[in-house]
Amino acid sequence: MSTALARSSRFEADLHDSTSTWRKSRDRIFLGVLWFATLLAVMTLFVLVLTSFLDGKSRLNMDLIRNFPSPFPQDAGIQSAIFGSLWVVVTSGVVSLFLALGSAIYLEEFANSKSKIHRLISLNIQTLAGVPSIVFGILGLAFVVRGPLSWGFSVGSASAVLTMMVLPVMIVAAREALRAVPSSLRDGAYALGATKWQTISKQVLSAATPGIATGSILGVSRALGESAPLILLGALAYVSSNPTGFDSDYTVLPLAIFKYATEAQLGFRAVGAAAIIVLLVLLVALNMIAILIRDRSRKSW
Amino acid sequence: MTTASTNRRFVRFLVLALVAVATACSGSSSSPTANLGDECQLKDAYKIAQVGATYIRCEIVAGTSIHSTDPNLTAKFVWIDTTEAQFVLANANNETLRIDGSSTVYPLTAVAAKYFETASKSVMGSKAARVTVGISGTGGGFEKFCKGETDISDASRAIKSSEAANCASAGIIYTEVIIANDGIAVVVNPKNTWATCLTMAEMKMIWEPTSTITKWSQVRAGFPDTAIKLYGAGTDSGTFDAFTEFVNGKGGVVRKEGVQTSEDDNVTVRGVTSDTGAMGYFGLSYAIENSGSVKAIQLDNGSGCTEPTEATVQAYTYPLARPLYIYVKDTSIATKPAVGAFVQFYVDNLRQISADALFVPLTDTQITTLQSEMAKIAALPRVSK
Amino acid sequence: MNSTLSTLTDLQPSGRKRRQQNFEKFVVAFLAIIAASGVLITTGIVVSLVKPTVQFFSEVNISEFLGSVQWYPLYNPPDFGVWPLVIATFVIMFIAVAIAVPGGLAIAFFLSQYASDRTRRILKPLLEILAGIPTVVFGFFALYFISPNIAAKVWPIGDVGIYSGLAAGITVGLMILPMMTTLAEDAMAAVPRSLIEGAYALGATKREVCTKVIFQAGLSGIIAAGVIAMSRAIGETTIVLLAAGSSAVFTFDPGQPMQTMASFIGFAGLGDQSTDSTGYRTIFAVGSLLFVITFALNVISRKIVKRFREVYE
Repeated sequence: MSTALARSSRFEADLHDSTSTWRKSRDRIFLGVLWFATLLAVMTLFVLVLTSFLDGKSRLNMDLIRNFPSPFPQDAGIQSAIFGSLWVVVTSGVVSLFLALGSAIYLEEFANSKSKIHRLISLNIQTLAGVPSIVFGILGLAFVVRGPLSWGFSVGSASAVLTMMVLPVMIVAAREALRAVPSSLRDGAYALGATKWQTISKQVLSAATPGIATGSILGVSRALGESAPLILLGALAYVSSNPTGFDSDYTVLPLAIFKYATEAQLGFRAVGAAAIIVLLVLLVALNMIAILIRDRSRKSW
Repeated sequence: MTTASTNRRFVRFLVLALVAVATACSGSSSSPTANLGDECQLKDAYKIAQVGATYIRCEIVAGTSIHSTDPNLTAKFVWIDTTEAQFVLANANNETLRIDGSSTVYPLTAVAAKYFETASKSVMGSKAARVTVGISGTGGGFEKFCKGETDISDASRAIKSSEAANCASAGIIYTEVIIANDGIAVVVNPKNTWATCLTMAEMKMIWEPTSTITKWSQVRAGFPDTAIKLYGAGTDSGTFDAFTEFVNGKGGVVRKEGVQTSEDDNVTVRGVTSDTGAMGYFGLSYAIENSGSVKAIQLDNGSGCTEPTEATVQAYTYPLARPLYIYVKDTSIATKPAVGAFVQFYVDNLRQISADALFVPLTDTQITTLQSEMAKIAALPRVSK
Repeated sequence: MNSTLSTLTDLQPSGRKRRQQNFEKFVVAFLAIIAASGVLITTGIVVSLVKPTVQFFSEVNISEFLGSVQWYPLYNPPDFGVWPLVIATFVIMFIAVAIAVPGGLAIAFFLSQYASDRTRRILKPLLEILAGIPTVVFGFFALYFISPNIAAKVWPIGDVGIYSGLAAGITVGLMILPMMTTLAEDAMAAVPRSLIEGAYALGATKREVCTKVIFQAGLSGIIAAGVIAMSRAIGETTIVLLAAGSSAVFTFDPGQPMQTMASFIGFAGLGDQSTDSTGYRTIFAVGSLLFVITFALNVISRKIVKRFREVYE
């Protein structure tokens, strides 16, 4: 029995007293606070979407998606930015999911949690989660664009750097997901004669899928929204074609939005706002895929 | 809502979205307009609309209809390359021209790139050259340029000696081209009726490092007691360097307290419009675009009050005028014909490009200098394919 | 369990079983290499930061860097005292965390104990969309909405202009809120149902289950989530760059424009100065400092988490 419950004598007293109005008002205040917080989040999203929609609705037409960047506001479109974002985000999402799962499985299932290696890796991941995005840009410029890999200013470099940026958050989420799988599940599998890897691949992973799906949503969303490090990595402001391979030039939606919002010509403001809406639609689409996976695989104990 | 119906709705949405994207991608690009002239020698029913050093633009005569499967013949206008340029443009086979550098020069280069790509597409069709433009900043642009990663570098200041040394040691030889003139406009709130003209000495008094000025009355006798709110460009920008050099004599020398610096010039505009006593500075194009909400003041450096206009910036009589540059890699011109063609095109159409980008074009003297630079570029050896 | 397993392996394994075991050894090694990639990345960051930082400190005295409170690296003559950046970083972090951590906990409690299935199904995707909004968009939101409507109206001290640490801090908090919520929810999900149901059985109200049971039991996970939120707040570049301005003045007042370490790096990295200058190398010096601070924060938090971790089953 946990000591947590016993720690609070006020709690014990409350448990025995089912008529206290003070207790009930505390309940109500608490609920009020929760509602406030929830509404705050929802209102933020609402205001963001609404202001972007109002600013950009004049440019929300097929031309926006069909055209490429142009120095003329009425001509400007974001086709190259959409495809560039898709290329970069999907690639980094897939690669970082693979790496995150591998790392999380190793750390949770195999490695001795007291060993030095384990502590070192864990500490590294936690620190990386807080490194500013622009530092990853500097890192990428030194080692991926130039240096040993020398992939140049291409979709491949951007994907590699975004993978590094997104990996820590995904690993943390995957680890939590694996940890949430009750050990009774594992023990049952072992009892039936399964090996460790069989247990993991067939039982634990499918049980942890909802949490892992959530983690990948977080990671992919972050990748979709980055702009500053990509400028250093050669994301362009003006490019008139879509990527054709991992060595292609590219641009991404957040950068296009940033560029349009800081231009002198006021006509670009609407284009930027419309681009935000398009980005949100893309985000929702990606999220819905992950949600489908999560709902399909959710099990209850 | 059951899971099955949610799934069906989602699939339907996805299919619709895919169809939408597919139809969107099959669109075509638009083309600019031109004026009438002589009959075009190379193609019937076309008249010459523009003559450049490397091309002729022919426009279809109004009322004529052409029945042909050749898209070049049925286009509203066609770019036809001539002699020397014929070699250049015809060999610009699917090349990608890489440009990076200053975000101040970016709008100008982007317009040039857009027009050039249109031209290249009508001549070369699917083998058209492509241009990409980045905004890593003047310094970042030079770094990439001197590593050979870009063909052209946009710059809002001249290359520094340390950067030039980098290029030299990497074997990168380049040509410096002044591509436009830029004025830095000093703006105040429209309600500011007293400061219509300030002398450069007064500007220095307000902006110098030892300045303690907080009110307009301290600037000149007769000015009201309104508080001065100063807004400046980001300290890492060429605009900041140029402004501080012009006003205080050396780049980076300016008062440290009491100035709100901003990366986004649109925010400086907002700052100046929100406060009666505010003063800010940014590139002329922002002043033109926001002429309704901010007022540009005249400056006097001894020869009278000068307003920032195209004429005064070109003549450099406006005290805060500066040139903008592009740096072209000589080896690119030799190995990538599209680079030479692009620079030629940029220069030929500079007036149109500058007007579209809200920049001040070059003077005739500057264009003469440019022609000699172009001649040098044209004389560079080409690699035939 | 162990004795059962060893009995199994005592028996001669079949060829198939042996191949399976070899395969598994390979898998473990493979996974270990993948896990080590995290260390590789950190090493890469350290290596790319070290050389320019060392060069910087040969040009600028470290006592000025750590001792002075004037940060004007791109002015003439330059000042290299880093304290304005550090103070600004922590001020904005406190504001962001003050919004994100209680807010995230509150929403997580709501989702796990109060919300109906239908509400949860609507709310979670909404939060995930909020989490995915690009930092650029949040930056402009801070500048055009939060700053005039909230920061300027709420802050009592002084004159809040277009740029303020407060607007940036609030927005960073709102941005981290969904992430904190998700991580807190995961931590709460790890609390065994038996504990929760036991508390309900004893007559506890939902509030009491949340505050007295779930919070205590999931504390280690919640603290871990809070630390990640803190790290993210410290490292946020774009929002602060757009909303807090680029004036690095030594002040504790969030109503003033501020420049954090991360936003300075973004600002200087994208600027027009030469990449071979001392001014540019400040990026690496500040980057190293930021890295060290984040690292130290994580080490401290791990010790705290270990103290609070309660193991069940």
